[in-house]
Amino acid sequence: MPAQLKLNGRLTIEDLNALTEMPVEGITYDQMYIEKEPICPEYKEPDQDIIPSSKRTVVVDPGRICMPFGAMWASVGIHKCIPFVQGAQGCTTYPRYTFSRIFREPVSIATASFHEDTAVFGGRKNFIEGIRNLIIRYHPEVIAIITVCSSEIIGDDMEGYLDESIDELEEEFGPEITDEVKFAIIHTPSFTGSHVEGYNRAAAAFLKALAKRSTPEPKVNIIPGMITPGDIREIKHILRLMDIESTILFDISETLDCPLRLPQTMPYYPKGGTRINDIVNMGNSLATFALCPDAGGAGAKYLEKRFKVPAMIGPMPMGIYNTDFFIKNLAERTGKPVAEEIKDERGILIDAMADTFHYTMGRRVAIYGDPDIAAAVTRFVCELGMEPAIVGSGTESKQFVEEVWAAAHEYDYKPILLNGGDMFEWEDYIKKEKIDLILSNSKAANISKEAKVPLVRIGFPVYDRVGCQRRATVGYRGSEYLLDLIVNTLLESKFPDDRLQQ
Amino acid sequence: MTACNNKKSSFPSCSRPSAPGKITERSCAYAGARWMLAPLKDAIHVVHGPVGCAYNGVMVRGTAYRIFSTDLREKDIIFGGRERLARTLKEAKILMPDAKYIFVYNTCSSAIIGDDMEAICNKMEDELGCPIVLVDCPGFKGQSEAAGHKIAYECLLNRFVGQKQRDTGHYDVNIIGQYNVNETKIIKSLLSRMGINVHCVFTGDASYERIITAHCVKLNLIICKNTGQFFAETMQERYGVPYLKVSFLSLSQSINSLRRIGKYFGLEKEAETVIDEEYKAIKSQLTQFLPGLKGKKAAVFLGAARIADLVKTFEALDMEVVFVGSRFGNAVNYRDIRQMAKVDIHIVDDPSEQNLEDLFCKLRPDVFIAGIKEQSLCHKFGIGTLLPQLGAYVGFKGFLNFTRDVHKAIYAPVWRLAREEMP
Amino acid sequence: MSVPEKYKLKCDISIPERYKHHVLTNAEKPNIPACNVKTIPGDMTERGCAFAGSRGVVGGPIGDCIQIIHSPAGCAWYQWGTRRNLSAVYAWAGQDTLCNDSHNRRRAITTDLQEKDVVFGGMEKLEKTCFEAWRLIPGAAGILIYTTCTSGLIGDDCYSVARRVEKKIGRPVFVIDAPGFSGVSQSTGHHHFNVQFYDQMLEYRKKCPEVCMKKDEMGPYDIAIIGEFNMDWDLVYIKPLFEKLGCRIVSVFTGGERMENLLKIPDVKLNVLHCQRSCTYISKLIKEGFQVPYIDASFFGIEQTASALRGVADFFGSQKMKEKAEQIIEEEIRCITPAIDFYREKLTGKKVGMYVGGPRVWHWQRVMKELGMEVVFSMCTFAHEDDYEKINARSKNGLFVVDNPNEFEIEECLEKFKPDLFLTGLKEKYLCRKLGVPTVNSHSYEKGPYACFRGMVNFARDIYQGVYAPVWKFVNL
Repeated sequence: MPAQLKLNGRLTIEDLNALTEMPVEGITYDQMYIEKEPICPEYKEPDQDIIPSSKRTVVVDPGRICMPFGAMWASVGIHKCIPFVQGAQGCTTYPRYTFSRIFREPVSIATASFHEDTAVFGGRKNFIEGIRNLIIRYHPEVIAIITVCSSEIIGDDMEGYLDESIDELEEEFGPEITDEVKFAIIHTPSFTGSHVEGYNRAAAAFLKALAKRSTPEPKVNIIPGMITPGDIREIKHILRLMDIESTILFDISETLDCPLRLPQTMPYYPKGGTRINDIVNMGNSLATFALCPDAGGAGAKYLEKRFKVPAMIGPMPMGIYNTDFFIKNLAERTGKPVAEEIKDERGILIDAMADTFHYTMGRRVAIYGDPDIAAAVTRFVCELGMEPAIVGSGTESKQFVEEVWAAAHEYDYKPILLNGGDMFEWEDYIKKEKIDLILSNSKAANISKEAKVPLVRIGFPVYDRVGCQRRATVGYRGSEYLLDLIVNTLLESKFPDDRLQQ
Repeated sequence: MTACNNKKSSFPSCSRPSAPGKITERSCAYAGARWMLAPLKDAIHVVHGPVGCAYNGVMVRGTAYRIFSTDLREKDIIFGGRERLARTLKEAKILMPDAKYIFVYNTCSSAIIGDDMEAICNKMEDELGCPIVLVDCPGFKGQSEAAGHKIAYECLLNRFVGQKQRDTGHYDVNIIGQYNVNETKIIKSLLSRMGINVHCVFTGDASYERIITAHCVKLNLIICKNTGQFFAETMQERYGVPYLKVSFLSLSQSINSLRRIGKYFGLEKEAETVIDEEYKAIKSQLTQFLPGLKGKKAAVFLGAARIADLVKTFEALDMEVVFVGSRFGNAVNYRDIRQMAKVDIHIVDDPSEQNLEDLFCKLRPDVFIAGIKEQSLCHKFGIGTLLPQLGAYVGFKGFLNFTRDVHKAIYAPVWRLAREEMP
Repeated sequence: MSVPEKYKLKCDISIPERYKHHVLTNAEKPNIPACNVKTIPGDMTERGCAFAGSRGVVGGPIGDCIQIIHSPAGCAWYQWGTRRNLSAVYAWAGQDTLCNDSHNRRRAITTDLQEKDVVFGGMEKLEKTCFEAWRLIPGAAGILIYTTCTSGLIGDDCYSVARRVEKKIGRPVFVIDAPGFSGVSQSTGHHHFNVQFYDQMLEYRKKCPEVCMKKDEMGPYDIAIIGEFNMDWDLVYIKPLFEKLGCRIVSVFTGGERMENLLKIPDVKLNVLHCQRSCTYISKLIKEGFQVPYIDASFFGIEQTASALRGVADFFGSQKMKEKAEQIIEEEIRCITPAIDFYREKLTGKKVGMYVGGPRVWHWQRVMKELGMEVVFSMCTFAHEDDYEKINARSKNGLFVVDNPNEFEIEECLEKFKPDLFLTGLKEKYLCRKLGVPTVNSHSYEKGPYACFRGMVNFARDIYQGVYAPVWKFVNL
């Protein structure tokens, strides 16, 4: 290679174009050096007065996305359920991109394809045609009808459209056509809440549409919230050890993390997901556990109000205290003893904490995420002897504030709390305070690099590393995995190489 | 275990072999020699034995050092490994041409097959043109790693110290028995601010050049009495260098030591200035940990020489020491502990794992000062640990570190969570 | 013209209007499918919205502006650092440090419309947002405001807000009004961006003539590259080629470009148009308004890149430049031949399916041929008639082409044509995985850049790595 190798072996644009023979393996950007140009020649300080979210109107780097996304997340956890989004094409394309980035799985979501005429005349025609096409081509068992900003603003009457749609279908194909398919309508105008609320509304909507009470059954309902397929598998593992029958509404563990096994049937449907009959049966359970109060709590409350199924809402079972709480309640509600294996798993987590407290204690942590996850992480880091210095939730939540204060009070910390603040504000604190570790999602990666504070990725969304969707951070075993991530990250960043061996 | 109950006059019987079959915490003479010599980075270290001994000798006090092995195999055990040793020495010298001296460690295998290593070392010394010293520390020698400590110091004394003269400064000292590299830095900085020049630190900061001229100092400061005493005494005998026993564990001992050194050199004022500055720098931070430590119970299981100092330290922190123990303490150590401690303390020598477990349950310390092997066992009983070999706990800042880390070990939330009952 | 029976996709039996979107190519008598028309609701389309076309594709790469999304937070979030349109322009992260990601991808800035804004209007909020964003990112060169479904439907007059803000901050503030529901696909967003940007640029150049290029600054060989978005740093290979030729590249519309240079595009001698779907509009407008001609160019593959260079040289007419072009082409081909030969040998006879937005489907027909691969079917999300004409012209006769395919059609085509590799985007690639078909991300690339001669080696390597990944051996048990 005649061109001069410089900059740690990376090639400038001139070098690249001066090579007289391209290597067979090509040259990609990891070998390229491109000089950064500042946006303006001199540093200009942002106006400090308006850095706190409360002092401004503009939202910079929001920690939340649109409400329909949460409803779609929930819906794809149901077996052979296709969400039908009453809106423009972007309202499905964007979420599908987002799902693919996080889960690396195909996600089928249908759109009513709003165009200008729809905005003028309403979405009735698109809805009826769309539902028809979906049913006759895909034969779904459930259709989750999800509204968006535009359909809510133009005031589409979804309930009326659905009736009409069923009438027309039965006329065209006979009355059996709609026997095999169930519907749930979820209203999710984004200007009234975030994805967390979207999931919450989906939980209530599905249960209202489908759940019944007939004969009581000795099983529990779990509404997991927006946690990973790995998390749900861990919850199932705990239930299995406890010998407890359960229905998990919305079970994405086998729809958003699926095997590649040929041949596939066409059209492609993941083999898993919550079955309709199980949802219908949820009115018969001993109790409902909503693991994330803000994402799913509404479903548990509905079952309690309507069918007297006791609602056990939150906190997310992460760390010792929260998981103890979950398991204690499971045992109480079902009358089953706590399995020896579970006590062992708890002991292994405790042991891992005991073996690592010299690494973790006194470290100052910045946390940001969805409210339920951020609150649970806060308590867990307290249990590790770490100080939650800045805790933020992208979605505003009362429960989040209460849970964080309870943990902080118990462990005698006074974190800066950002309830519904954006990541820009949070970022500013990280850059100004002395922080040892960030616990947040992939959106914090740039912040981590700029502030030179290491990042442990957790929560929604993690798209710039593989495998996070398969790992659990709930339960004792999940917490142990999170502990390992935290400690290993600290070892990587805070300990010189000659201090790593004992 | 040979334990002793807490009577002022009684000591545990000690310096005896461990009973076969018991799960002892002791190690071997080879390990002891490595512990002492590993920090000499400008030397070549060759271990004559199967590769395992070398592998285990790489890591000393949390740091990895380069080590060469003759990697003895079955046929070498049968036909002798001399050829292999000679070749290894040659090759090692090629790989580290700048090395000034070579240590060859004897191990169980090489000692038993009876390779005449002395002869090979002598022969190769001429060929390679640099001193080659046989560290005769096969694992079976002596009762514990303490044997290796002595062997290592004998090698240094007999082969290197006194080989070369140098001009001695008025305030030149050696430090003997200080092996932790980070702690060495702290002590050196304290002394240098008093105007005292530390020439050679055995072995936390030493080099060939400084070892061979180590006798040209005004004073030797002994930190570890067990390993250092013999070394310093020999130097006094041979070269007339006086010695002073000092300790930099805890505030009072640091202050006391600095004052004694100051007095020796007539640098009393300088000593007071350093003490003053250092104390001011840590005072406010230190006081925030003290209330939390008061009345807490500690236990210590370490190399014997430091135990008495640590007992004093804990007493200064208003903590109670519920038991102490060592793998290889001698009668002097245990007598020192008795004399030092305000109250009668339960002392154990060479306890087995089971003995320790009993003590954890019976005496329930809040924090256990120990080594890595004992640490994980202790955690299983819900007790926090501290590993002195990893931290830097000497002097004033070191004392702050120590206090903070003891506080961490006691107050880690995990112990409370572990005690909380599951339903 | 409908396709023969054997090409009739079974999945479309119940929505027969889809068959109008399927054709077989013919170079002599081009067959154009129904295209650029509304999507059939519920057919599981892969199309996006106009907002995606304006903010994501055309506006997104602009390097030094504050880009404000006038919407609830979600729309802004989805555009936040997701497309790999790279830039060298970085905002300040602190006194002495630059951010970790280029400015156009680093932040999501939004008015975060709430229910009360939807009821009472969001103009006031937009105005405050603009001023505040300006105070938080004081080094920016201007502001771009994008509308969405929500702001479009509530009818905020964003233009009047923009003019007021512009006056106060003294920098261009442009509005791109392309709400998600406008038009049939993201293509409408491209169009809206082109036209509206052009109009506002014109207006701004009139208001502030100092932003135009001075006479004495102009050079005889000034060109702008239009419709190049610097995916994975394609510009690393595109720019030097034309510079070697003797041209000066004044501006790129819009890959990583600064506002200052975008405003100078009408002052160049020639526009070289790469993406002829998303940016023909502005090229035509500039041609009409400023008499600056444009030429179509493809920067993919050997033959097409060579012809782009020749085209520019021919335009300027200088013999020296023509010779230089030949010399460059010869050098470049020599530089990549060993690598390309290696891959051609490995890839010859392999079957490839192709599904991209529109232009890349015709850009890449020749590239596949140069790699010895056979294109077995092609699909476009938002192509228009002219795109399909080019596909007819550049592909083998009888190639099965689908306009605006839906998920089910993609599955059936993968099953029917059994390609060894599928060139497609992120959403579709995981579906292909489940069917055991390897893919190469054709929007943001895998490990680019892919453009020009040297980039083609990367493209060939990624195709090779897709086809030959050992995992496919284990798929069929």
